[in-house]
Amino acid sequence: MASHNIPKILLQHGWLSFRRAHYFDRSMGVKILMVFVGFIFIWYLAMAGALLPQLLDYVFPAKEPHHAFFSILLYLYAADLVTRFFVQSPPKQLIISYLPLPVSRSKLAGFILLRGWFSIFNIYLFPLLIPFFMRTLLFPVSANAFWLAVLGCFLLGALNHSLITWYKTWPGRQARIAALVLFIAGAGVAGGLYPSAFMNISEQLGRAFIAGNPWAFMLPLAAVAFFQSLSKKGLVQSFYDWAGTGHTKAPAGSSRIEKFFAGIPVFGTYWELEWKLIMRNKRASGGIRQWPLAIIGIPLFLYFAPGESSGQYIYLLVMVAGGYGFYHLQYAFSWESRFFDLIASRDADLYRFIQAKYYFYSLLALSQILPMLILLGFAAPDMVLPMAGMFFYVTGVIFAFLFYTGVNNSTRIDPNKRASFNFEGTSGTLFMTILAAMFSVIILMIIAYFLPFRMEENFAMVTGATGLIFILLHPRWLRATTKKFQRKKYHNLSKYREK
Amino acid sequence: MTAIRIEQLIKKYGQQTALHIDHLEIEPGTLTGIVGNNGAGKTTLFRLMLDLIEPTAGKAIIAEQAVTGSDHWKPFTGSYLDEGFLIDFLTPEEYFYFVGKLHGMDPAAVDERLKEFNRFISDEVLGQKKYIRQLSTGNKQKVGIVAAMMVRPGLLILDEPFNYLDPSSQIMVKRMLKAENEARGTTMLVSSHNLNHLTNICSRVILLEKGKIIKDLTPPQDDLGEVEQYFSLQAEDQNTERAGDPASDQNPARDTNRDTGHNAGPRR
Repeated sequence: MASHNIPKILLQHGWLSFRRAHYFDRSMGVKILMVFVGFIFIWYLAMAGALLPQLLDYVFPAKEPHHAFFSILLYLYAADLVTRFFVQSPPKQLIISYLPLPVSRSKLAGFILLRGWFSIFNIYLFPLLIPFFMRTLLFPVSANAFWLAVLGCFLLGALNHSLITWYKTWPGRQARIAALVLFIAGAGVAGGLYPSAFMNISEQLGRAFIAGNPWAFMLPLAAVAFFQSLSKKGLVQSFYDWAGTGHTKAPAGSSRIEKFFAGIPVFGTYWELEWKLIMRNKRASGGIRQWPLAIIGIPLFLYFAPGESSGQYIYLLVMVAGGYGFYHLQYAFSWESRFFDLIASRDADLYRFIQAKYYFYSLLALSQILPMLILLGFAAPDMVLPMAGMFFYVTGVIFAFLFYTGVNNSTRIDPNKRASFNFEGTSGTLFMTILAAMFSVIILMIIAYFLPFRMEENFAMVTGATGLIFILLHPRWLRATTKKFQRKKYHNLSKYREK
Repeated sequence: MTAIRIEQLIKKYGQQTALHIDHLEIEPGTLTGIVGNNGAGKTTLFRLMLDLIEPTAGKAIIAEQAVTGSDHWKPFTGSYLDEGFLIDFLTPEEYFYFVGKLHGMDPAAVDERLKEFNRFISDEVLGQKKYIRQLSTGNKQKVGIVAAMMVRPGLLILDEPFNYLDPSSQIMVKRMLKAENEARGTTMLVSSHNLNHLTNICSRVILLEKGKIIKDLTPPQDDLGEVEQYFSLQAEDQNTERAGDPASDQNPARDTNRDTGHNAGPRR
């Protein structure tokens, strides 16, 4: 094998892939907006961390805030694990292009694993944890306790990182499914059946961290080493699978839902294509597969969430009530950017195409919001009406807004690339569009405030009525969107074609 | 009546003129070849004809109606320019059904029609349980060509259809085009870098250079040798220009790399 300085070269490539990402191709305005949003996110976490002691003091008055926090520490990292499961990229995405190089595969795998540690998921909790530990440990207890708690939390994050890396790297599908089933069963038993025992173990672990108990650090460290070595083995074993071209799992038209769509007159052709577009691309399918969790998770969150009025969760309702469509339609026509030349040059009616898209995402939203409304009826009955009203508002007003302004977003999307946040399809206009859509509900809240009934009912009426008007008038704004698209067709097509 | 008429068609990108055709008429049922070096304007011409880019001036007219902003030509036009015409998350079968459906063909009719392309695509493309994105470049090219021809268009536009294909497939494409043109009188516009392919099948060959038509020939009456001669002279001119380049004197290998993309030695 050649003796190039491969770690150095790969490190340089890692830096270049970051520096030359689509994010940096954006205009200065977009970059500033993104930095601003990132800053707001960090600020929000830091404020949450700084205010957490008061909240814990309120919920667990008999305990010190840091002890109370330690009792939910394992829940926090279980949630972190679930998030990573859906969003964190497997290291194989980094490795394929390096496979033909004259480098030992073991060395390559080792370095790719090392590079995998430079992930946002390994640091994103610290803006919350550090202010919290500063307030509860650094000043009231000791600097030692502070650093040991930070180290302990880092190790728990590292364990999650290693578990996910192993899970997404290991070639044996059955072993991975067994691991997933075991995890869900374990979490269900621990968190659901014996919550007090689980919280007690969690608290003991946190106490062991700040007491400097070596076992509390050695055990996660050993587990990290174990899963990292398994991941390395998995990476080396999986090389051939990843380098191969692969086959589709299902033959053409084998899915029942695809056949169902195909059989629908008028819109069936477009709906079938839309469904395949979502389900056969990592980015889109990743988004829609999170919905079953959201249907259960949002009612659960609203059940436990503190607060006296539904108004404080208004933006959550905006983001949720439109189902997956709210996310997808932000890039309305960019999803087809790679084959819009075909759509434009074949006998496809653009109005029908846009109309089919609107109906598809409205019906999808309905199918997602109905079960959520039923669960909300048990978990947070006060939120049922606002959520229902918001469904009409989002599928009427906001969808109309996204469709119409979506014509201005001529950026190209490669849906095969996996990204939780799509810098490639992002533009300054899009940012402003989303902000405007989110803030538009403020006006409705003000109107609702002056109506005679309860706030929840007023708000549901205002949003529902506004939304219904837009839904009823949809042929008008869909035609306006089509005309606008025709006007911008050449510009958008040329941008879609850019690579 | 002409199938295609072009009047004062100009496409500019900034100050640069990509295409400038004063007048061109394509008669129905002709198989017309467009040849030209890279950047000659072949793809630009096709995109203008398919209303995928907006002309700076002038118009392309299909069936006596300008294509810009109109859909009248779509039902009888089949085309394949590049991978932007493929939906890569579909399997080839699904893609053919989708395109067929847009042209009013049901799956059974598509299957029936695909049988005619069996030798061209069968083993490597159909029934492979692969998405188009997983196919080789050559097989993607085959899918695009078949999808364009499958709908039995009255007008067929293909950009570089011989690219990426193995020699047998290139011959098959030529035969398929010729057969379709003769049997159904399909008007065809086909571009290629390879003069031999076009000489064999085309009843008319148009030479584009820097966005302009510089020769319009009808073989076998016209001798295509002069087109070949034209390209030879172009190549000679480029070599001569490079010989005068000081950088070339200092580093001949660098010059060759720029020309061919690899260090293959001087080319004559």
